[in-house]
Amino acid sequence: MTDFGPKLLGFLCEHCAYTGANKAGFNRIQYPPNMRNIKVMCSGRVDPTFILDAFRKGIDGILVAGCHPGECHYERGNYKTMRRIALLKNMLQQLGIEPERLRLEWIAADEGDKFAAVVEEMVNEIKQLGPNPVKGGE
Amino acid sequence: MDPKIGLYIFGYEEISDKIDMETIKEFVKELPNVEVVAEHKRACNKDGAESIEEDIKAGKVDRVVLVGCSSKTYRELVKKIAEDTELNRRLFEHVNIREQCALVHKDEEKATEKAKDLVKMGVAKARLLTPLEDEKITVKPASLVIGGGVAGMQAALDLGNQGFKTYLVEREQELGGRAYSLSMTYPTTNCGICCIHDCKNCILTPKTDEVYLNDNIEVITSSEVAEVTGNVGDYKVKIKDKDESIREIEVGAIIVATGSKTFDPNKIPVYGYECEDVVTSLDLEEMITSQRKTGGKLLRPSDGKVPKTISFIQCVGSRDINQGNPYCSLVCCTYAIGQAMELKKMYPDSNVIIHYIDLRGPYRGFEEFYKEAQEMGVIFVRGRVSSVEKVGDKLLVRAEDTIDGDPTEVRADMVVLSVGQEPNDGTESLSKMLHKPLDIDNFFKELNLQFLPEDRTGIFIAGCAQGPRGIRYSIADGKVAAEYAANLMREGASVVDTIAIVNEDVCGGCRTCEVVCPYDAINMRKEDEGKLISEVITAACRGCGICGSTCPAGAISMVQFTDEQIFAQIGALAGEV
Repeated sequence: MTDFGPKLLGFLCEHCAYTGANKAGFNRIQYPPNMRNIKVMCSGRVDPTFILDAFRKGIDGILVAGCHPGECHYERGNYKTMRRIALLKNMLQQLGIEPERLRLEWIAADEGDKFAAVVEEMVNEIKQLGPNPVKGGE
Repeated sequence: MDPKIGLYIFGYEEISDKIDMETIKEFVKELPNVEVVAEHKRACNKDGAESIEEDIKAGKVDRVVLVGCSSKTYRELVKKIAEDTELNRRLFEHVNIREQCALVHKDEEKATEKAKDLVKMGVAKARLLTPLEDEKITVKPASLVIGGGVAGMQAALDLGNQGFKTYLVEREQELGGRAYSLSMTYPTTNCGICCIHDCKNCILTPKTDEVYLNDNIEVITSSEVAEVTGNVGDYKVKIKDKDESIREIEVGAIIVATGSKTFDPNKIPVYGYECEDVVTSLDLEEMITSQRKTGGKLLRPSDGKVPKTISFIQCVGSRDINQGNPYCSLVCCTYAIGQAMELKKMYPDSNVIIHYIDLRGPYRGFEEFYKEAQEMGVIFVRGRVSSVEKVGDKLLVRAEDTIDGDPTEVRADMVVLSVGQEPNDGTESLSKMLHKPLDIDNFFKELNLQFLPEDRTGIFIAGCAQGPRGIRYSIADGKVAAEYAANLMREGASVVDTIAIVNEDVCGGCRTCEVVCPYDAINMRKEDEGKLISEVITAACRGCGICGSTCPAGAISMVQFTDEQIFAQIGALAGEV
């Protein structure tokens, strides 16, 4: 891809967010094709190094989506995620990456419309921000 | 040895209409380690499975990537192929290009580009998949049923009858729960549970004497569960009796049948429960039962006079976001009509009034029951009650009458509050002890029968502990829970697919994983020099991955979701091979 997409990556928890994304499919809700998803069992599985690695490799925007607080299939994974992403956003700023490129959302299994809306919003926002400043460098 | 990846696309119309299959196939063929690329119509047809099995058996392929629609359809396919070919089921990866691609993106070219990326990521992960032999967890052939109401009793009977040792622990002195204190059940309004055995509905309810006579059931009354440790197949439970002495039992499965309690009407002071003649539906049941036993009449609590006007107030504590609970308690309309008819039979000249908001009868037969009550002369007034006040020796009930359109007042001799159901006392602490979640109303989350095969807790919930329901359905719940517990005890459990694995060479013994695990599934093993090494208790691990992402050394990871696999997926997306 030579033009700036933007290229987005989504970490979706299997039980809620991934199923929510499927629901958007069942309802044929249309949204931009910029995001590629990696399924994880729990948003708590998302190691901060995954996110840093993805930004380092030039991904323009990352969504981490899990179950609503109180509804995590594994009791507390999403609380870990909440704290991690907050800290990570701070760190990204220090590294010269706009913290808006990283987004945390709670998407339930039946919230297909929310998933589609979030992707659409992210695509527009990150288009405004421009390509990942790290692109092309190590 | 390099992995040999076979990629199989199930591209029936809704996928192949949007995504260019030829482009995908050509693209994938060029990726390293891909030996076979094939397209089939539907995953649910046999031909696809058969051709994949042939490729595996011929040694062409030892890693499989299935590309098609959303994952649940493919679980059975993977299971079948793994069984038939003996290829370890953890060597299969699935890529969704339908619900998350073909169906949601208008532009065919862009959808195809996205599908290429998704498939590339799937292949990158598949290269790094490793097999893991399935460990069977033995399940002790004994169960604990917490709660001796009708659901718990039925579960215990079913298990006991199948030869399993069953402990039935009940907080009160008597078995039977709330159902056994009722004077009537719907629709046979003139008998209770401990009753005439020729009533066809009563034959369905479990009897306490059957429970006591069953050799395999040990009934422990006036006792509570104090502590639970262990995991599926091997639970150690401490039971505390009223004298605080503790007894420990070991079981393989647990059934929670702790029921519900009724709403406390003191929370709505305007309904006047402090007045002697204002009673709850359960109070009324007690009055009717004792009146039957003594042969006397049902009389006003305050002065022993015959009540001439009785008002029932529906939805007390239910459908009430201000002072009660938002949900409907399902059974109150039915039982109130039953009680109203009972009173009308007792005192045919009395005025029996039901103040309701909506009349809800979830089961067939309710309409006929309601009609019967109307024909008997029970008066139904639609509208909310604003207050009940003692005026002289009467109770002044102020209510709406939406059909007439005017507010109305009733000078009643007695008022019956149809109280709703709430989670029982101790639900929260039991939920924490068992790691079983509660829902938004603080009832135990309902058994989702779709996910039951994946259940790694060996703990099943039955009856009103999951939320209000009638007697018949609580009993059915007890049967279902017993069936699952019995299966578990017979067949054992298997470790979860995405179990945590420790790389002992890298583990620094920092104990972070032990602290973050919600299921106490990590044990620190002491080595000779005093070093600690993390060890996963495979039967307790539920495969969430929280330890994996918290480990500072990268020593612990999840099968099928290792750090390397996820980094490979990220790399594939970013343009690496």
